[in-house]
Amino acid sequence: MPEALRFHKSLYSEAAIRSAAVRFAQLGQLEVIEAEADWLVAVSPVRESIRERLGDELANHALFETILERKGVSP
Amino acid sequence: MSEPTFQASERRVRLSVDESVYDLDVIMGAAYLFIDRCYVYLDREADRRVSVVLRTREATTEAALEQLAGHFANELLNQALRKNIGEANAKIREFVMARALFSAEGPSTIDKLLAELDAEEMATDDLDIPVPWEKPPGA
Repeated sequence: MPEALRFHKSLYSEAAIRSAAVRFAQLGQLEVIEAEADWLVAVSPVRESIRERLGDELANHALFETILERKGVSP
Repeated sequence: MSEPTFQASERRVRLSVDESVYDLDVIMGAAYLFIDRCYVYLDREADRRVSVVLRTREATTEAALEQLAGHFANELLNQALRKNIGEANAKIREFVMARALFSAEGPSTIDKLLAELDAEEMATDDLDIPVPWEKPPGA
């Protein structure tokens, strides 16, 4: 089973997470799964060596878009 | 405890922030400014408590991580202050904006009508109707 990143629903927007998953899709298979309190992103990178970096970048992007959404700014 | 606390380990430092002191907008505002410096990850640690994980892009020292956490804590305070000032000045800002928009329109409709009335009063009566309190012509 691929490793999953966890984003709490009270902190991250669904649209931002899905947008981040689409943006990084060429670097691996990214599946957004809804859990009770979190959004999970199952990550299967194209190369194992980029797994950590891919997770970090995806999380930053999801946070960035969440903040813009909260501010009412379109990315 | 309301003060942000932190724990540092390799390339990452975690701060625990009390939302009753720094609300989520403040935490997000600070996080926004750190996104280009490091990786930022937020997590819900408990009700009204947010965990902020800052992860450096390159290898670093523990002292540098502590400094990063300190800068983030300072930014929380800065963002909270900005938010408070913004809220306190909201009414004044609205008033100033309304005044600016109002004066930008030029003379108001009332002013225009008053000006027209003044102009009419100053104009000569075309019908030349004599009124008892005026001297007759040639007198």
